[in-house]
Formats: sequence, C-alpha cells, structure tokens
Amino acid sequence: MKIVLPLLLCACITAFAVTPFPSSSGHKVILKAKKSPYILENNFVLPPEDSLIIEAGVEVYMSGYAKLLLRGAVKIDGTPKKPVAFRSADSSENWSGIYLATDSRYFVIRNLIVENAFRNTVANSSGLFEKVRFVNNYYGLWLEDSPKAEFMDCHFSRNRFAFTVGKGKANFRKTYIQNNVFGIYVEKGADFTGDTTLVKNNLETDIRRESDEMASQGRRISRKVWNRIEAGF
Amino acid sequence: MKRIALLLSLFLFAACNEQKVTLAFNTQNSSGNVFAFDSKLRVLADDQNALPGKDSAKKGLAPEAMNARLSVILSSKLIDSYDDGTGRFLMNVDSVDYSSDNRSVEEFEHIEHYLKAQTFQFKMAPDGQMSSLKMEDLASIPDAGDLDIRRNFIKIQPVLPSAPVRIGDTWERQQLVDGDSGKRLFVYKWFKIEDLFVRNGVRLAKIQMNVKYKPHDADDTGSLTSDDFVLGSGSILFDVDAGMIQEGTLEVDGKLCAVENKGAEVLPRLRVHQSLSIRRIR
Repeated sequence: MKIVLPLLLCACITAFAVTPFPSSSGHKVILKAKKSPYILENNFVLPPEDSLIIEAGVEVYMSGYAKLLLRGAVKIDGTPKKPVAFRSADSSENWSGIYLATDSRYFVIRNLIVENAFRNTVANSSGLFEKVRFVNNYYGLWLEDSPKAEFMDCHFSRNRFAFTVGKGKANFRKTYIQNNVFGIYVEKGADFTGDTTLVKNNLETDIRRESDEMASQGRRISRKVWNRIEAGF
Repeated sequence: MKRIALLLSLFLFAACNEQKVTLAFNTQNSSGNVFAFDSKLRVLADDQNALPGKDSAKKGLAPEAMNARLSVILSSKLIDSYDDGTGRFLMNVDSVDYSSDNRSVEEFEHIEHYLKAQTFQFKMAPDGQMSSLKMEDLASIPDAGDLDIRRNFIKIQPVLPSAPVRIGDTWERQQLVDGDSGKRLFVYKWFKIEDLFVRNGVRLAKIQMNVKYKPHDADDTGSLTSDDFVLGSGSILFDVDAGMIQEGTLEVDGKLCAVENKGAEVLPRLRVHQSLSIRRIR
C-alpha cells in the first residue's frame, strides 16, 4: 500500500500536468506530442528568424486573451488521427487568436483545430491550410492581405464570420463553410475566387458582400475607412 | 519721496506678478501617477448628396457618421532615471471602457481586452519629449484598424520650455509620434502660460496648448490624408512643484480625405472632431 499510493499520485500528476508554451531554442520552437498539453498564459511572438514546428497530437490551451503572433516559418503537422488543437483554457472565454504574418515564408498548416478565438488573421503571408477546422471563433479566418492562400479540405463551422476576405486571393478546394452565422464576408473592393459550392447552410447568409450591403443602405463609407480614421486620426 | 515710494511699491507689485517659474516633468524621483484618460471621436461624412433636395436626402438617408468613446485608467511608473535628466517610464492600462457605433459588442470586448494588455515603455526628458515609445509585448501591437492608446496620449502631452517662463510667455515645439510599420507623424505644438496660481496648496500653471498636424496614413488598401492641417486647442494644468500634469483637455478638429485603392470611388470628405481629456487621480 505504501508503494502503491505514491505511484498512483505520480501517475495522476503526470496525467494532468501541462507544459508551459516553450520559448525559442536555437531559433526553433518545437512543441512535442509527448509533452502535450501545453498552456499559453499570455502572448507568444515568433520572430522572423525563428521557426515554429508543432508535432501531431499536440494540444495547446490558451488562457486569458492569449495571442500567437507568428512572423517566422510555421509548420503545423497534425495528422487526421492526431490533429493539433488550439483551444481556450476556459471554454466560456475567447482567446485572441493566431496572427500569421510570415512574409515570404510559405506556411504549412495541416490537421489543425482552432476553437474559441476572437480572430485568426493572415496578413502579408501566403501558405497552405489543409484539413484545418475553424470552430466557434468570432472571425474564423480573416484574410487581411495574402497574395496566395490555399485551402484544401478545410471546415468552418459555428463561427460568427467564418471567412472574411479583405485583400488577397483565396484558393478553395473541397472547403466546407457550413453552419456559421455568416459564411464568406467579402469586404468592399475585395475579390474572392474559388469553389463556393460547399458554402451553404449558414444562418444569415452564405456569401455576404459589403458593397451590396452598403448600396442597399445608401452608404458609401466602408467599415475599414471608419476603423482607419479611429486608429489613425 | 512719497512718489518714489509709490513707484517702488508699484514696481514691486509688478515684479511679483511677473514671477518666473521653471516648468519641468519629474523624471528623476517620481513615485508614480495614475491618470484617467478619455477620448471621444465623432466623424461625419461631408456628403453633398445628403443635402435637402438631393435624391438620397429624399429617401430619408442621413449623412453617414461614426461615434466612438474610450475611457482608460493609466498608471505610469518611473523605472529608471538617467544622468542626462531623462527617465524611463512604464505605462500600464488598468481599466478600459470602450464603445463605438461602428463595431459589435464582441469587438468592444476584444478591444477592451487587448487594450488592457497594452503595456508600454517610454523615455521622457524633463521637457516632456518622449522617445523610444515601445510596446512591452509585440503581440500587443494593434492589428489593422485597432486602437493604440500611445498616439492619443502623446497628442495631449505638453512639451515644456527649457528656460523659466512668466505669465504671457509663449513657446513652440514639434513632437514626433513614431508609429508601427515606420509610420511617423509630426505634431506641432504652441503653448502660452495663461496663469500661475495656488489651489489647495498646489502651485499650478495653466498652459494654453494649440496643436496642428497633417495625418498621413497610406498603404496598399488605401490612404487617409488631409489637405489642411488638423487643428486642436486646449489647456493643461501643470503641477509646478511635483512636475506632473494635473489635468488637461484638447479639442481637435480636422477634415479628412479617405481613398480606397480597391474601389477607386471618390468618398465624401470626413469631418472629424476628437475630444481628449486627462486627469491625474493620484
């Protein structure tokens, strides 16, 4: 009995232990499956000269209003059986989201689940999303500025704005945007090309264009202009 | 003899009124300050189409407008003082209350959350010139269209004269606001000492402040410019002995020209009024 109890205690501690989100070592940040789950307490910035590599099966819990600002090379390599998951530690609270600004470094994200974020953004970057699920985010993914973003077999569900296009090109292949409030939101002046046959069953509308909405309301000034004034006056 | 005595007393009286004070921020041994900072922004489209008689006006469409309000409690702490008289300060955002009729409630909450996470450091000279205004955490840098407290805070920050001044004296300074992504803004400020008085045992200088600047914000998606200067005026009550702002207000007005590169549509001019106020709580 004296041996069993400490062993049981050790087993419990190991089973419920969480690993803090690691910092860079030798310009690499590697999240390993054997050390999962990880917790990100605050914010994490990946500098341009560093790389982020996440192994299959890794779970990251985001507390408070954590944000992942990724400027370096990104390779998230989940598998269909062992996806990588980014979730909020407290399911009643949002975390800030992923901000991909990798510049000329092409990011590769496979088999990732992103839940409960406020806004996931792709800015000044190109890359591949393959079998990525965006679930229950406010802005599932915002393509703010992306010369080329490829989506293969991705799923957007239960988001407020599943997919927002500001500037850039999105190439959709077998991508499901279903059961969100708004499917695709195309900002005024933005272009969207891709197969939209799988964009359906969204609560308000499947594809909403800001320019149409503005014309129907007799408005000429887009949200982006208002926001720019607010930020830049 | 009586005349001389009278003239002498008049001279002494005038001399007392002409007392000079040295105005300087306490950058060496400040125990920390807490400020309530408010910003109200109103933007109105100067839309000729919405004038009476025009089609859109007949349809009952009002000119487009936006109102936003931000109230924050800021606490600043001196973290290092240097031999050249400058000091390094750390500014924390203790609480935020934000609303706008252009954003959703979820967006209010998001903005309140990230503003609360904004912690920035700056170096300040005794005259109030700020430099190295950097975010503590890169992840707190606002995304496109998000708010940045630093910009508004610098706008209301006075720059003090290097020499002692008396009532009626004026001086001018220019302040550089270094934004992220290399965006820079020069703010020209003009000051006048309006009054020197004691209130509740605190020696205060009332400083009139006028500001002018030309906003210029351009990127691939569009630009925001102004043909004329944006003008502002207000006043600052400065605690002379403690070397800190007691309270201040600034009303800023401008007419902006926004261009959206994607749409190639000429947008109406936008009239902007911003009301800033700062008050030291402790």
